[in-house]
Amino acid sequence: MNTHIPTLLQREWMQHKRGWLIAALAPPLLFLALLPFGEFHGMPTESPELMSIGIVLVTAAVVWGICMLVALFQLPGLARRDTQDRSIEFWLSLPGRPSESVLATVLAHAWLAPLGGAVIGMLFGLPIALGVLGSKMGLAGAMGTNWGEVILAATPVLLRGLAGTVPLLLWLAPLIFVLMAASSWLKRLGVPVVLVGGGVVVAVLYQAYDIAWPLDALKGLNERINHTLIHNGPGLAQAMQQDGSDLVTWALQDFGRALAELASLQFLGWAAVAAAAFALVVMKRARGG
Amino acid sequence: MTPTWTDQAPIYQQLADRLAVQLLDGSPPEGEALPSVRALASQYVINPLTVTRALQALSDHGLIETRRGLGMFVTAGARQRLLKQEREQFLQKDWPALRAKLKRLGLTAKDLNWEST
Amino acid sequence: MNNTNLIEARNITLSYGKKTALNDVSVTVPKGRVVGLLGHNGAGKTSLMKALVGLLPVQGDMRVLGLEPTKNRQQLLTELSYIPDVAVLPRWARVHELITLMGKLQPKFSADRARALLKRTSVGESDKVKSLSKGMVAQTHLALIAAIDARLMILDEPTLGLDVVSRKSFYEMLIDEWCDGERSVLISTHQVEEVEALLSDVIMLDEGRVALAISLEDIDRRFVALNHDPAAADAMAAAHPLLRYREQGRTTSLFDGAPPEHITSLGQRVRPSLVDLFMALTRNPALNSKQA
Repeated sequence: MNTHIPTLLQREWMQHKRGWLIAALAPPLLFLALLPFGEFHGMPTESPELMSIGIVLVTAAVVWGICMLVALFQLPGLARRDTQDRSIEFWLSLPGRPSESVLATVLAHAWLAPLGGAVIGMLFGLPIALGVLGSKMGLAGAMGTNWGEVILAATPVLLRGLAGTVPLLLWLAPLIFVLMAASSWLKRLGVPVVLVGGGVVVAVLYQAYDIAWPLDALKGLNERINHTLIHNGPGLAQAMQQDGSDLVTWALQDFGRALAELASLQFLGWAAVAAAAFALVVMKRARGG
Repeated sequence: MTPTWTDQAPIYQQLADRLAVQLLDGSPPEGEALPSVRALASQYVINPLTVTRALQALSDHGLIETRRGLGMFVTAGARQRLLKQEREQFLQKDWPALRAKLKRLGLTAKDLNWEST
Repeated sequence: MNNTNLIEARNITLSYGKKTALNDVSVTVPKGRVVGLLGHNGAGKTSLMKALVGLLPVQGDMRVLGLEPTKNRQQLLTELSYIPDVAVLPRWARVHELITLMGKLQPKFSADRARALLKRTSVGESDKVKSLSKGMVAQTHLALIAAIDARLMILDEPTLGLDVVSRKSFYEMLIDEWCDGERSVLISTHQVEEVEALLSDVIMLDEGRVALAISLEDIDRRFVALNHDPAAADAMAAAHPLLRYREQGRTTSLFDGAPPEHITSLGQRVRPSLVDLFMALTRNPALNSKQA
């Protein structure tokens, strides 16, 4: 069976590339521009290598995070994107399943674009680290840093993060699709109604009726989401102090633990919520918005 | 320019009449095929099925014939027959009315500038 | 079902809650036809077209290109081309981006053909849709759809917003490229007089029902329009014409089937125009008050 998802992803790129590039390039460029004017405190100064690793990781994480936040903010509105200019009728007149269209939108915005952002952050990380070190210890000292070690150490952690975006997306799916469904069915009021209404319901159930499971379920979801990127934080800190091979071990084990959390009743429950909300979004799209 | 069709007769009939007039004027010349159905449809911006009906009408009147694989051609003597038919029509129907009008207006053969044009 | 018919619909009914959009509609479209779908607003033209492309589920038997529209929608869409409205091209896109995407989504689309057709317009490939006028958007949409090598074209008011020259250009393209005896076009339009010569068949919808589904050839045979003096009006009226209307001092009476001999001799036979027939057979309160 042929899938149109690659073409639909290309459509997302065509329509949104400007926004994505701005979100990914602006922060690091801005930071580089402000470097000469800033001062840095609270960094592990014992080892320039450690600092550099930290800077690279943080830069990648920050750019990724910004792109991710932008995506989460935009996705509910994207559910109604084609109805506003009536182009949905054009898309529906061509081959292409509504389900693939919705999936492509989420994959492009919530997974691929932030991933691209992370890569851009990684690439900018080295010049930024150079810049920060340079301002602390002079250019000579900065150049003397063991960049090979930096790259070698940062790589497993970065890869762990990149790989973690897959389970992350799976755990975020219920939130994403519920908000998209709310937006596509209830229009502008959809997201506020669901967030506020949902929050109120959960709080009331807990405070007034002592029904804790909705609140606990949400807390659990939040925890799982955090784990997808870094499960064992202290372990990472420890491995960083040691030499390179520990980081690889840490990365593999950590990812394994994150994956293991997918094999749980919790995940199945949330997956069902995501599937139901996804069906609602697809249904609305198939009817022409 | 696409001609406009009047309400006097079905469109296919009007097209047949126009094509007949062209036949009389020597288009297409003897031995040359008529334009294809598609060419005529394109020229007059009419549905090809209507063109086919028009050509069928001309064929029914013996004015054109299909030669297998070659197209539609004017039948031998068709122009003469058509000319005779048109002359009859003019002399029987159109001329008497015109002559009456000329008499009413007091116009004679001398006023008609017969030789020019 | 006859395999050479591109569309076969029997007893189609479509209801939204209390409103019935299509009521026991049966339609047959063989290959090699240009079918005009006529109807006042709300008569059901758009609903019928949406049902044919599988966008709306209906009751009854429907086969388009041998497929059931709602069940095999994706496959059906690869074999026909459909214009729901000429104002729906994505506004963010550049024309060449639309060409790229359509090429990948629609297997029968030819990018070269689309570019060739666009050359006839004033639209450039690097233009953004949102910078184009309404008419240029319509021309672009038509060029893109015309580049699809489909057996069946379903066009909902494709010439809306086009000027006379562009409309003519579209009709010429329709005749030149699509009337090869194998393809069929189903076109709904308000410009009935303009397209009359292009059509081979007509379907008139009136409040969800088929008022008339007939070939243009049969219209000439079945309906008799007699142009007569006002003096003969009473005699004509007694024969129960479908419609009478006045034009430049003369009246025309339209009959379904041949009226008695003595009536026919009272007037001169003229061609019943599609517009007149449409007005006679469909209910439009605003126009009925103008009848002779």
